[in-house]
Amino acid sequence: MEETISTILIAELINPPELIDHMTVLQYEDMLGDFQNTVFDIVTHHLECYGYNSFGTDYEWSIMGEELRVFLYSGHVQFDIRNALLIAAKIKIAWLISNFTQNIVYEGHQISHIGVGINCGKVIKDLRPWRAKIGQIQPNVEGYVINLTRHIQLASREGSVSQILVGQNLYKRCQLNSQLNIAFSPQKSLSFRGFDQKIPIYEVVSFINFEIIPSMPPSLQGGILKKIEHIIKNKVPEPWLFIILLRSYISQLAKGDDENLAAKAVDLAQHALEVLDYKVVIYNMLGWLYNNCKSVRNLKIA
Amino acid sequence: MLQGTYIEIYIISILSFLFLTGILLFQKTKRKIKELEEKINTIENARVEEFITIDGRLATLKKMFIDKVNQLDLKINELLQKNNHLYEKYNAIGVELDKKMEPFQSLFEVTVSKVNSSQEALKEAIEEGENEIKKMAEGIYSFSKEIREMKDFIRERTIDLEL
Repeated sequence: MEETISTILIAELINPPELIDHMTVLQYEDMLGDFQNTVFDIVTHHLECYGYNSFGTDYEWSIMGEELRVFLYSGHVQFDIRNALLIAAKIKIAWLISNFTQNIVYEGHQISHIGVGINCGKVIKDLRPWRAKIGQIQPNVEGYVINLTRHIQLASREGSVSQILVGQNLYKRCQLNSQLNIAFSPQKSLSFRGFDQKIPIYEVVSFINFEIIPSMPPSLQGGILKKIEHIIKNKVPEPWLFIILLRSYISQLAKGDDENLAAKAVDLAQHALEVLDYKVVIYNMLGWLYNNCKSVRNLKIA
Repeated sequence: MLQGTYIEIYIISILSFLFLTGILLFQKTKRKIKELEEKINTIENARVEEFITIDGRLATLKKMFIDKVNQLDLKINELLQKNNHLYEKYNAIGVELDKKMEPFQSLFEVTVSKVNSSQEALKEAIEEGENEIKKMAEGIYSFSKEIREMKDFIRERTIDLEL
Protein backbone atom coordinates (compact mmCIF):
# COMPACT_ATOMS: atom_id res chain seq x y z
CA MET A 1 0.00 0.00 0.00
CA GLU A 2 1.43 3.37 -1.02
CA GLU A 3 0.38 6.71 0.41
CA THR A 4 0.76 9.81 -1.70
CA ILE A 5 -0.62 13.33 -2.15
CA SER A 6 -2.74 13.51 -5.24
CA THR A 7 -4.47 16.34 -7.04
CA ILE A 8 -7.90 15.14 -8.08
CA LEU A 9 -9.94 16.57 -10.91
CA ILE A 10 -13.48 15.38 -11.52
CA ALA A 11 -15.41 16.83 -14.43
CA GLU A 12 -18.92 16.07 -15.62
CA LEU A 13 -21.28 17.27 -18.29
CA ILE A 14 -24.08 19.44 -16.97
CA ASN A 15 -26.95 19.15 -19.42
CA PRO A 16 -29.79 21.68 -19.33
CA PRO A 17 -33.21 19.93 -19.09
CA GLU A 18 -34.32 21.72 -22.27
CA LEU A 19 -31.56 20.03 -24.22
CA ILE A 20 -31.98 16.54 -22.76
CA ASP A 21 -35.76 16.53 -23.14
CA HIS A 22 -35.56 17.11 -26.89
CA MET A 23 -32.76 14.70 -27.51
CA THR A 24 -33.18 11.26 -29.06
CA VAL A 25 -31.05 8.35 -27.87
CA LEU A 26 -28.88 8.63 -30.99
CA GLN A 27 -28.34 12.36 -30.47
CA TYR A 28 -27.38 11.69 -26.85
CA GLU A 29 -24.97 9.01 -28.07
CA ASP A 30 -23.46 11.56 -30.48
CA MET A 31 -23.06 14.07 -27.68
CA LEU A 32 -21.47 11.52 -25.36
CA GLY A 33 -19.09 10.34 -28.11
CA ASP A 34 -18.04 13.91 -28.87
CA PHE A 35 -17.53 14.65 -25.17
CA GLN A 36 -15.43 11.55 -24.56
CA ASN A 37 -13.28 12.11 -27.68
CA THR A 38 -12.70 15.76 -26.78
CA VAL A 39 -11.75 14.95 -23.21
CA PHE A 40 -9.50 12.08 -24.34
CA ASP A 41 -7.64 14.38 -26.78
CA ILE A 42 -7.11 17.06 -24.15
CA VAL A 43 -5.95 14.83 -21.30
CA THR A 44 -3.60 12.59 -23.32
CA HIS A 45 -2.04 15.55 -25.14
CA HIS A 46 -1.64 17.62 -21.99
CA LEU A 47 -0.06 14.92 -19.86
CA GLU A 48 2.38 14.04 -22.63
CA CYS A 49 3.33 17.68 -23.28
CA TYR A 50 3.87 18.50 -19.63
CA GLY A 51 6.21 15.60 -18.99
CA TYR A 52 4.11 13.12 -17.05
CA ASN A 53 5.75 9.73 -17.28
CA SER A 54 3.21 6.95 -17.49
CA PHE A 55 -0.17 5.78 -16.38
CA GLY A 56 0.04 4.47 -12.81
CA THR A 57 3.45 6.10 -12.19
CA ASP A 58 2.54 9.74 -11.75
CA TYR A 59 -0.99 9.98 -13.03
CA GLU A 60 -4.20 8.06 -13.65
CA TRP A 61 -7.36 9.01 -15.43
CA SER A 62 -10.58 7.48 -16.60
CA ILE A 63 -13.76 8.40 -18.45
CA MET A 64 -17.07 6.79 -17.51
CA GLY A 65 -20.09 8.06 -19.36
CA GLU A 66 -20.29 11.80 -18.78
CA GLU A 67 -17.65 11.82 -16.07
CA LEU A 68 -13.89 12.34 -16.24
CA ARG A 69 -11.55 11.62 -13.32
CA VAL A 70 -7.89 12.61 -13.32
CA PHE A 71 -5.41 11.86 -10.51
CA LEU A 72 -2.04 13.60 -10.62
CA TYR A 73 0.66 12.53 -8.15
CA SER A 74 4.02 13.54 -9.63
CA GLY A 75 5.38 14.35 -6.16
CA HIS A 76 5.25 18.10 -6.83
CA VAL A 77 1.83 19.21 -5.65
CA GLN A 78 2.12 22.78 -6.98
CA PHE A 79 2.99 21.41 -10.41
CA ASP A 80 0.02 19.01 -10.26
CA ILE A 81 -2.33 21.81 -9.19
CA ARG A 82 -1.23 24.01 -12.09
CA ASN A 83 -1.78 21.11 -14.48
CA ALA A 84 -5.19 20.25 -13.04
CA LEU A 85 -6.27 23.87 -13.51
CA LEU A 86 -4.91 23.90 -17.07
CA ILE A 87 -6.70 20.64 -17.89
CA ALA A 88 -9.95 21.99 -16.43
CA ALA A 89 -9.76 25.18 -18.50
CA LYS A 90 -8.77 23.25 -21.62
CA ILE A 91 -11.56 20.65 -21.45
CA LYS A 92 -14.10 23.42 -20.94
CA ILE A 93 -12.79 25.35 -23.96
CA ALA A 94 -12.51 22.19 -26.05
CA TRP A 95 -16.11 21.28 -25.28
CA LEU A 96 -17.33 24.78 -26.16
CA ILE A 97 -15.55 24.71 -29.52
CA SER A 98 -16.52 21.11 -30.30
CA ASN A 99 -18.69 20.48 -33.35
CA PHE A 100 -21.60 19.34 -31.20
CA THR A 101 -21.66 22.52 -29.07
CA GLN A 102 -21.05 24.82 -32.02
CA ASN A 103 -24.07 23.30 -33.76
CA ILE A 104 -26.22 23.79 -30.64
CA VAL A 105 -25.06 27.43 -30.42
CA TYR A 106 -25.87 27.87 -34.11
CA GLU A 107 -29.39 26.53 -33.50
CA GLY A 108 -29.79 28.95 -30.60
CA HIS A 109 -30.42 26.35 -27.88
CA GLN A 110 -28.91 26.12 -24.44
CA ILE A 111 -25.64 24.20 -24.41
CA SER A 112 -24.18 21.60 -22.05
CA HIS A 113 -21.52 22.88 -19.69
CA ILE A 114 -18.74 21.04 -17.97
CA GLY A 115 -18.72 21.33 -14.18
CA VAL A 116 -15.35 20.70 -12.56
CA GLY A 117 -14.31 19.93 -9.01
CA ILE A 118 -10.62 19.99 -8.03
CA ASN A 119 -9.02 19.21 -4.74
CA CYS A 120 -5.86 17.68 -3.36
CA GLY A 121 -5.08 15.45 -0.43
CA LYS A 122 -3.72 12.15 0.74
CA VAL A 123 -4.73 9.04 -1.12
CA ILE A 124 -3.60 5.45 -1.11
CA LYS A 125 -2.59 3.38 -4.07
CA ASP A 126 -3.46 -0.20 -3.35
CA LEU A 127 -4.42 -3.35 -5.16
CA ARG A 128 -7.36 -4.87 -3.35
CA PRO A 129 -7.54 -8.67 -3.45
CA TRP A 130 -11.03 -8.62 -4.92
CA ARG A 131 -9.80 -6.39 -7.79
CA ALA A 132 -7.02 -8.83 -8.56
CA LYS A 133 -9.61 -11.62 -8.65
CA ILE A 134 -11.52 -9.85 -11.42
CA GLY A 135 -8.33 -9.27 -13.38
CA GLN A 136 -7.52 -5.65 -12.44
CA ILE A 137 -3.80 -5.78 -11.78
CA GLN A 138 -3.22 -2.01 -11.51
CA PRO A 139 -3.31 -0.52 -7.99
CA ASN A 140 -6.30 1.73 -7.49
CA VAL A 141 -6.26 5.25 -6.04
CA GLU A 142 -8.63 5.55 -3.10
CA GLY A 143 -9.24 8.06 -0.37
CA TYR A 144 -11.67 10.26 1.46
CA VAL A 145 -10.59 13.28 -0.60
CA ILE A 146 -11.89 11.68 -3.80
CA ASN A 147 -15.38 11.44 -2.35
CA LEU A 148 -15.11 15.06 -1.23
CA THR A 149 -13.95 16.18 -4.67
CA ARG A 150 -16.90 14.37 -6.19
CA HIS A 151 -19.26 16.40 -3.99
CA ILE A 152 -17.42 19.62 -4.87
CA GLN A 153 -17.85 18.77 -8.53
CA LEU A 154 -21.58 18.21 -8.03
CA ALA A 155 -21.79 21.65 -6.43
CA SER A 156 -20.21 23.20 -9.53
CA ARG A 157 -23.73 23.41 -11.03
CA GLU A 158 -24.21 26.39 -8.71
CA GLY A 159 -21.14 28.18 -10.07
CA SER A 160 -21.70 31.44 -11.92
CA VAL A 161 -18.35 32.18 -13.57
CA SER A 162 -16.19 29.22 -14.52
CA GLN A 163 -18.02 26.36 -12.83
CA ILE A 164 -14.59 25.16 -11.69
CA LEU A 165 -14.84 24.66 -7.94
CA VAL A 166 -11.99 23.81 -5.60
CA GLY A 167 -11.74 22.50 -2.06
CA GLN A 168 -10.08 24.01 0.96
CA ASN A 169 -6.76 22.12 0.55
CA LEU A 170 -6.25 23.27 -2.98
CA TYR A 171 -7.32 26.82 -2.16
CA LYS A 172 -4.72 27.08 0.61
CA ARG A 173 -1.95 25.74 -1.60
CA CYS A 174 -2.89 28.24 -4.33
CA GLN A 175 -2.65 31.09 -1.82
CA LEU A 176 0.88 29.94 -0.93
CA ASN A 177 1.96 29.75 -4.57
CA SER A 178 2.85 33.26 -5.73
CA GLN A 179 3.63 31.94 -9.22
CA LEU A 180 -0.01 31.06 -9.85
CA ASN A 181 -2.16 33.95 -11.01
CA ILE A 182 -5.53 32.71 -9.86
CA ALA A 183 -8.47 34.37 -8.13
CA PHE A 184 -11.32 32.69 -6.29
CA SER A 185 -14.81 33.73 -5.36
CA PRO A 186 -15.55 34.33 -1.66
CA GLN A 187 -15.81 31.14 0.34
CA LYS A 188 -19.10 29.26 0.36
CA SER A 189 -19.84 26.57 2.91
CA LEU A 190 -22.06 23.78 1.74
CA SER A 191 -23.49 20.73 3.46
CA PHE A 192 -22.81 17.53 1.65
CA ARG A 193 -24.53 14.23 2.28
CA GLY A 194 -22.31 11.99 4.38
CA PHE A 195 -20.28 14.88 5.82
CA ASP A 196 -21.04 16.14 9.31
CA GLN A 197 -19.72 19.64 8.96
CA LYS A 198 -20.14 22.23 6.24
CA ILE A 199 -17.48 22.05 3.58
CA PRO A 200 -15.87 25.29 2.31
CA ILE A 201 -15.66 25.60 -1.46
CA TYR A 202 -14.36 28.29 -3.81
CA GLU A 203 -15.07 29.01 -7.45
CA VAL A 204 -12.26 29.97 -9.84
CA VAL A 205 -13.20 33.44 -11.09
CA SER A 206 -9.94 34.19 -12.86
CA PHE A 207 -7.10 31.99 -13.99
CA ILE A 208 -4.44 33.80 -15.97
CA ASN A 209 -2.16 31.42 -17.80
CA PHE A 210 -0.81 32.00 -21.26
CA GLU A 211 -0.42 28.25 -21.86
CA ILE A 212 -4.14 27.48 -22.04
CA ILE A 213 -4.69 28.16 -25.75
CA PRO A 214 -1.18 27.55 -27.21
CA SER A 215 -0.97 24.12 -25.57
CA MET A 216 -4.29 22.85 -26.86
CA PRO A 217 -3.95 19.72 -29.06
CA PRO A 218 -3.07 20.55 -32.69
CA SER A 219 -6.35 18.96 -33.84
CA LEU A 220 -8.25 21.69 -31.95
CA GLN A 221 -5.97 24.63 -32.77
CA GLY A 222 -7.54 25.47 -36.15
CA GLY A 223 -9.67 28.62 -35.83
CA ILE A 224 -9.85 28.29 -32.04
CA LEU A 225 -9.92 32.03 -31.34
CA LYS A 226 -12.65 32.60 -33.90
CA LYS A 227 -14.74 29.85 -32.29
CA ILE A 228 -14.28 31.39 -28.82
CA GLU A 229 -15.20 34.80 -30.24
CA HIS A 230 -18.30 33.17 -31.76
CA ILE A 231 -19.28 31.73 -28.36
CA ILE A 232 -18.89 35.14 -26.70
CA LYS A 233 -20.76 36.89 -29.51
CA ASN A 234 -23.71 34.51 -29.01
CA LYS A 235 -23.87 35.48 -25.32
CA VAL A 236 -23.31 31.94 -24.07
CA PRO A 237 -23.10 32.22 -20.26
CA GLU A 238 -19.38 31.43 -19.92
CA PRO A 239 -18.01 34.79 -18.66
CA TRP A 240 -14.59 33.34 -17.76
CA LEU A 241 -13.95 33.06 -21.53
CA PHE A 242 -13.43 36.85 -21.68
CA ILE A 243 -10.32 36.49 -19.55
CA ILE A 244 -8.95 33.61 -21.65
CA LEU A 245 -9.55 35.47 -24.91
CA LEU A 246 -8.11 38.75 -23.64
CA ARG A 247 -5.03 36.95 -22.34
CA SER A 248 -4.57 35.42 -25.78
CA TYR A 249 -4.87 38.86 -27.45
CA ILE A 250 -2.24 40.21 -25.07
CA SER A 251 0.12 37.37 -26.03
CA GLN A 252 -0.27 38.24 -29.68
CA LEU A 253 0.26 41.93 -28.99
CA ALA A 254 3.38 41.17 -26.92
CA LYS A 255 4.80 39.28 -29.90
CA GLY A 256 3.99 42.29 -32.08
CA ASP A 257 1.82 40.20 -34.39
CA ASP A 258 -1.03 42.65 -34.91
CA GLU A 259 -1.23 46.18 -33.55
CA ASN A 260 -4.87 46.48 -34.72
CA LEU A 261 -5.74 43.80 -32.18
CA ALA A 262 -5.38 46.36 -29.40
CA ALA A 263 -8.62 48.13 -30.31
CA LYS A 264 -10.41 44.77 -30.48
CA ALA A 265 -8.98 43.87 -27.04
CA VAL A 266 -10.17 47.17 -25.55
CA ASP A 267 -13.69 46.58 -26.91
CA LEU A 268 -13.70 43.06 -25.49
CA ALA A 269 -12.41 44.30 -22.13
CA GLN A 270 -15.20 46.90 -21.97
CA HIS A 271 -17.72 44.17 -22.72
CA ALA A 272 -16.13 41.97 -20.03
CA LEU A 273 -16.46 44.75 -17.46
CA GLU A 274 -20.21 44.67 -18.01
CA VAL A 275 -20.45 40.89 -17.58
CA LEU A 276 -17.85 39.93 -14.95
CA ASP A 277 -18.16 40.57 -11.24
CA TYR A 278 -14.44 40.11 -10.69
CA LYS A 279 -13.14 43.15 -12.57
CA VAL A 280 -9.60 43.51 -11.18
CA VAL A 281 -8.05 41.35 -13.85
CA ILE A 282 -9.82 43.23 -16.64
CA TYR A 283 -8.55 46.57 -15.25
CA ASN A 284 -5.06 45.09 -15.19
CA MET A 285 -5.42 44.02 -18.78
CA LEU A 286 -6.58 47.48 -19.84
CA GLY A 287 -3.60 48.93 -17.97
CA TRP A 288 -1.29 46.57 -19.83
CA LEU A 289 -2.84 47.57 -23.15
CA TYR A 290 -2.38 51.24 -22.29
CA ASN A 291 1.26 50.73 -21.34
CA ASN A 292 2.26 48.52 -24.23
CA CYS A 293 0.15 49.48 -27.23
CA LYS A 294 0.75 52.76 -29.00
CA SER A 295 -2.76 52.73 -30.47
CA VAL A 296 -4.37 52.62 -27.00
CA ARG A 297 -4.01 56.08 -25.58
CA ASN A 298 -7.34 56.56 -23.90
CA LEU A 299 -6.28 57.07 -20.30
CA LYS A 300 -9.86 57.11 -19.09
CA ILE A 301 -10.44 53.59 -20.33
CA ALA A 302 -7.10 52.35 -19.01
CA MET B 1 37.66 -1.40 -193.11
CA LEU B 2 39.41 1.90 -192.68
CA GLN B 3 36.70 2.97 -190.38
CA GLY B 4 37.44 -0.07 -188.21
CA THR B 5 41.01 0.80 -188.08
CA TYR B 6 40.35 4.23 -186.80
CA ILE B 7 38.21 2.97 -184.06
CA GLU B 8 40.79 0.37 -183.14
CA ILE B 9 43.46 3.03 -183.22
CA TYR B 10 41.32 5.22 -181.08
CA ILE B 11 40.62 2.46 -178.63
CA ILE B 12 44.23 1.45 -178.62
CA SER B 13 45.32 4.99 -178.04
CA ILE B 14 42.78 5.36 -175.27
CA LEU B 15 43.93 2.14 -173.68
CA SER B 16 47.53 3.20 -174.16
CA PHE B 17 46.72 6.49 -172.54
CA LEU B 18 44.98 4.75 -169.71
CA PHE B 19 47.79 2.34 -169.38
CA LEU B 20 50.36 5.11 -169.31
CA THR B 21 48.27 7.09 -166.95
CA GLY B 22 47.95 4.03 -164.76
CA ILE B 23 51.66 3.50 -164.86
CA LEU B 24 52.25 7.12 -164.00
CA LEU B 25 49.78 6.98 -161.16
CA PHE B 26 51.29 3.78 -159.92
CA GLN B 27 54.72 5.34 -160.04
CA LYS B 28 53.44 8.39 -158.28
CA THR B 29 51.68 6.31 -155.64
CA LYS B 30 54.74 4.19 -155.14
CA ARG B 31 56.83 7.27 -154.73
CA LYS B 32 54.37 8.69 -152.26
CA ILE B 33 54.32 5.44 -150.33
CA LYS B 34 58.08 5.49 -150.25
CA GLU B 35 58.07 9.02 -149.01
CA LEU B 36 55.60 8.10 -146.37
CA GLU B 37 57.64 5.10 -145.32
CA GLU B 38 60.65 7.34 -145.08
CA LYS B 39 58.74 9.76 -142.96
CA ILE B 40 57.48 6.93 -140.81
CA ASN B 41 61.00 5.65 -140.43
CA THR B 42 62.17 9.09 -139.52
CA ILE B 43 59.42 9.40 -136.92
CA GLU B 44 60.16 5.91 -135.64
CA ASN B 45 63.78 6.77 -135.29
CA ALA B 46 62.93 9.98 -133.56
CA ARG B 47 60.62 8.18 -131.20
CA VAL B 48 63.23 5.57 -130.44
CA GLU B 49 65.67 8.36 -129.76
CA GLU B 50 63.17 10.03 -127.52
CA PHE B 51 62.61 6.78 -125.65
CA ILE B 52 66.29 6.36 -125.27
CA THR B 53 66.55 9.86 -123.88
CA ILE B 54 63.71 9.29 -121.42
CA ASP B 55 65.11 5.96 -120.31
CA GLY B 56 68.42 7.61 -119.77
CA ARG B 57 66.91 10.35 -117.73
CA LEU B 58 64.88 7.85 -115.71
CA ALA B 59 67.96 5.82 -115.05
CA THR B 60 69.77 8.95 -113.96
CA LEU B 61 66.93 9.88 -111.67
CA LYS B 62 66.71 6.37 -110.30
CA LYS B 63 70.39 6.39 -109.66
CA MET B 64 70.15 9.75 -107.98
CA PHE B 65 67.26 8.54 -105.85
CA ILE B 66 69.03 5.35 -104.87
CA ASP B 67 72.11 7.37 -103.99
CA LYS B 68 70.05 9.70 -101.85
CA VAL B 69 68.20 6.81 -100.20
CA ASN B 70 71.45 5.10 -99.50
CA GLN B 71 72.83 8.26 -97.98
CA LEU B 72 69.71 8.62 -95.87
CA ASP B 73 69.87 5.01 -94.89
CA LEU B 74 73.43 5.53 -93.76
CA LYS B 75 72.41 8.53 -91.72
CA ILE B 76 69.45 6.65 -90.21
CA ASN B 77 71.71 3.80 -89.33
CA GLU B 78 74.10 6.22 -87.72
CA LEU B 79 71.27 7.73 -85.76
CA LEU B 80 70.00 4.34 -84.74
CA GLN B 81 73.42 3.38 -83.59
CA LYS B 82 73.68 6.58 -81.63
CA ASN B 83 70.25 5.94 -80.18
CA ASN B 84 71.18 2.42 -79.21
CA HIS B 85 74.28 3.74 -77.63
CA LEU B 86 72.31 6.30 -75.70
CA TYR B 87 69.76 3.67 -74.70
CA GLU B 88 72.51 1.42 -73.44
CA LYS B 89 73.99 4.35 -71.54
CA TYR B 90 70.59 5.19 -70.13
CA ASN B 91 70.07 1.57 -69.10
CA ALA B 92 73.46 1.51 -67.53
CA ILE B 93 72.70 4.72 -65.66
CA GLY B 94 69.27 3.32 -64.71
CA VAL B 95 70.85 0.15 -63.32
CA GLU B 96 73.43 2.25 -61.53
CA LEU B 97 70.69 4.52 -60.19
CA ASP B 98 68.57 1.53 -59.15
CA LYS B 99 71.56 0.17 -57.27
CA LYS B 100 72.09 3.52 -55.59
CA MET B 101 68.37 4.07 -54.96
CA GLU B 102 67.78 0.59 -53.56
CA PRO B 103 68.46 1.58 -49.94
CA PHE B 104 66.32 4.64 -50.38
CA GLN B 105 63.49 2.73 -52.09
CA SER B 106 62.41 0.82 -49.00
CA LEU B 107 62.77 4.00 -46.97
CA PHE B 108 60.69 5.84 -49.53
CA GLU B 109 58.00 3.12 -49.48
CA VAL B 110 57.87 3.29 -45.71
CA THR B 111 57.63 7.07 -45.88
CA VAL B 112 54.91 6.89 -48.51
CA SER B 113 52.92 4.39 -46.47
CA LYS B 114 53.43 6.60 -43.43
CA VAL B 115 52.31 9.65 -45.35
CA ASN B 116 49.29 7.71 -46.68
CA SER B 117 48.32 6.52 -43.23
CA SER B 118 48.84 10.03 -41.81
CA GLN B 119 46.73 11.39 -44.64
CA GLU B 120 44.00 8.85 -43.84
CA ALA B 121 44.24 9.68 -40.17
CA LEU B 122 44.10 13.38 -41.00
CA LYS B 123 41.11 12.80 -43.28
CA GLU B 124 39.34 10.83 -40.56
CA ALA B 125 40.20 13.51 -38.04
CA ILE B 126 38.84 16.18 -40.38
CA GLU B 127 35.68 14.15 -41.00
CA GLU B 128 35.28 13.60 -37.27
CA GLY B 129 35.89 17.29 -36.75
CA GLU B 130 33.28 18.12 -39.37
CA ASN B 131 30.77 15.77 -37.71
CA GLU B 132 31.63 17.27 -34.37
CA ILE B 133 31.14 20.77 -35.78
CA LYS B 134 27.82 19.70 -37.32
CA LYS B 135 26.71 18.26 -34.00
CA MET B 136 27.86 21.41 -32.24
CA ALA B 137 26.00 23.55 -34.77
CA GLU B 138 22.86 21.46 -34.27
CA GLY B 139 23.32 21.72 -30.52
CA ILE B 140 23.76 25.47 -30.74
CA TYR B 141 20.72 25.74 -33.00
CA SER B 142 18.52 23.72 -30.65
CA PHE B 143 19.98 25.61 -27.70
CA SER B 144 19.19 28.96 -29.32
CA LYS B 145 15.69 27.69 -30.10
CA GLU B 146 15.31 26.62 -26.49
CA ILE B 147 16.62 30.01 -25.30
CA ARG B 148 14.13 31.72 -27.61
CA GLU B 149 11.31 29.55 -26.27
CA MET B 150 12.47 30.19 -22.74
CA LYS B 151 12.60 33.92 -23.45
CA ASP B 152 9.02 33.75 -24.77
CA PHE B 153 8.00 31.69 -21.75
CA ILE B 154 9.56 34.17 -19.32
CA ARG B 155 7.92 37.09 -21.14
CA GLU B 156 4.51 35.37 -21.03
CA ARG B 157 4.95 34.31 -17.43
CA THR B 158 5.88 37.89 -16.51
CA ILE B 159 2.73 39.12 -18.24
CA ASP B 160 0.72 36.47 -16.34
CA LEU B 161 2.05 37.79 -13.06
CA GLU B 162 1.64 41.45 -14.08
CA LEU B 163 -2.01 40.84 -14.79
